[in-house]
Amino acid sequence: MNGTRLFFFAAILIVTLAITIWASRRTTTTSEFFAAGRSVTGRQNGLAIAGDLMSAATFLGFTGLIYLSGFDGWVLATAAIFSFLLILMLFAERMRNAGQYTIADVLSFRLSRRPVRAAAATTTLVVVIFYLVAQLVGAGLLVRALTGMSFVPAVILTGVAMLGYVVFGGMLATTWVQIVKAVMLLMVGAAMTVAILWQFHFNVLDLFDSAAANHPLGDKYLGPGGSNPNPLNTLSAGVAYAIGTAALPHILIRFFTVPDAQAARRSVGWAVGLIGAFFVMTSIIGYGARALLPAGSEEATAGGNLAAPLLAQHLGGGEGTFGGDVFIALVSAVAFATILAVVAGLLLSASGAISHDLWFNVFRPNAGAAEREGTAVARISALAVGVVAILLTILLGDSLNVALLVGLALSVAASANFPALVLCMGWRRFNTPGALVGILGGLAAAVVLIMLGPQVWPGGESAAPFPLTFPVLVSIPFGFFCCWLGTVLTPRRVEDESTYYELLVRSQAGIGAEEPTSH
Amino acid sequence: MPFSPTPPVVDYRAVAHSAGFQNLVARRRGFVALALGLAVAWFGGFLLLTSYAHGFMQTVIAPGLTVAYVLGLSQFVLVWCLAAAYLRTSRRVFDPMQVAVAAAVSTGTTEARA
Repeated sequence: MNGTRLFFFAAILIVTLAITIWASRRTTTTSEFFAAGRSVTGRQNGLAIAGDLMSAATFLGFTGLIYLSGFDGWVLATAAIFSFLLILMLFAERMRNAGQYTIADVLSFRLSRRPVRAAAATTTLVVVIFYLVAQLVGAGLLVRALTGMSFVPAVILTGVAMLGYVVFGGMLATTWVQIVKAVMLLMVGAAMTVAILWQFHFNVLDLFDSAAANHPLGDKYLGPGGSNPNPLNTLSAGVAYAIGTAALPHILIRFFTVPDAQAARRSVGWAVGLIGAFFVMTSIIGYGARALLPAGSEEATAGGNLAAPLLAQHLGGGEGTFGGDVFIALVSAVAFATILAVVAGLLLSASGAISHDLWFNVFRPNAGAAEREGTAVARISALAVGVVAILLTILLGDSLNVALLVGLALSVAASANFPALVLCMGWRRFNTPGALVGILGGLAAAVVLIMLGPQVWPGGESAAPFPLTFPVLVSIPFGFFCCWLGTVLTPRRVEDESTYYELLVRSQAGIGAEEPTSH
Repeated sequence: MPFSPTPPVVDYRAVAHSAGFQNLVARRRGFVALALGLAVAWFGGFLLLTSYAHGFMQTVIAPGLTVAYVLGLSQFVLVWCLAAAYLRTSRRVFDPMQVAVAAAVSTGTTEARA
């Protein structure tokens, strides 16, 4: 293996390991394990949320899509940034005010606790497992392509690092690994952007024009339609990213780590600024790869995913030069750090769903959250989910379609979590059967339609009974419909509506919200 | 610390019906409805054009610049502006109203809506 790359990859592992050791000394109680003692500041949390969104899928995936087919790749970035308005105005402050550790806290707040919690924990686990496997497959492919290590050891290495951060360092380690990575990725992205624009005398339009000249589509490469002949597919992909991103469990749980709702709100402000800047840079990097990489590099980019690292090598002076070696090693190592940080956050949210929701509130509601037992169960759940995800990844192998898994995760989050979350905060009549039918109906619709869709159904696009890759255009309205149907078919219950007032006052005015613990 | 969602001292129904609280909720909902309505219309329109109006979106305004890129970039600008407006309004308007509601609860002077 190439020495420069080994050096950077090792540096990433050493830095994150040091963070974990530091964090593990400050993680003993349940609140510290899941919510970093609610001591993360708004700006730190904003960086961590930005880090969650600046994943390998967006850094390598979006730039690769733009490199291959142009504007279509960037539409998903605009959808993801839009979702942050939903997070800011609908969820951030309310999650902090009404919840403790998990989404299910908010959903089950005013409804019958055990069944709704079990349903919400189930969708969290489905979303997280698919997202986790997608990221681990991506990690295996990336590490294999960049270091020559084979797929299975690469997945195990990533998985073990992820388990280390979460099991020993909890939310504090997960947050700081994410923050460090977010800063590195923003710096690398900015350096690449400046290096690209330098070649075009800082004239962005010159860059775009050169990119179009290098693509067989010509000027059409700078507009939509380069990859997707079916307009409904473009539309549904946009909706899946716009709504699904806002209901992802590993992003929403970050609002439990700040001291109060004001900090939760400010953290979204930071995240929106940073992610927006990063996504604008991905358009420069993606088009830059088209403008600067030699013709016929498509093969070498492995489906577009390595366009950014290859461009870094080119910008540093090309293959075999010292500058080229260092820049590609740096970008690759940061991409690796991105995957490590994102999978850690995912694993932590799954651990919350198992230990806090299922173990302490469904199976053993009377046990009382004994602190010792609390973190022990949480750590064991993290270990179990992590091992299952690693085994699934190895079992399913490197042929798995990463985009499909991310699509499934986003579709489930959008169809099962989003309607119930919106309605439980805004509709007084909403009740337990409504939430149950809505969550399970949305989950079932999303999963079944993906099975019937062109990516899974044998025979592909022409044979599939359901034409769309992302089922959200059908499954989100169906989720809302199920919430409504389950509610109106059952009698009004006074308790469900009186707790509505409690949730309303608590979420809107912060009265009774979880207090930050002092250190 | 055990999870206790119902501290017994607060009469949530009374707070929910107090004038101060209802005013807070109404103003925040009004702002959010307006801002999200605008954003949904702008982003939804962009997404529909991207999906169905390839010819229009591929129109070249200046060499290298298409309608699609300008409208795409405008999504970021709109999200930044609306987020900044929400943060500013929260700090200046909603937070003080929230403090007043909480103060009325802790001193037991929550007044019912006339």
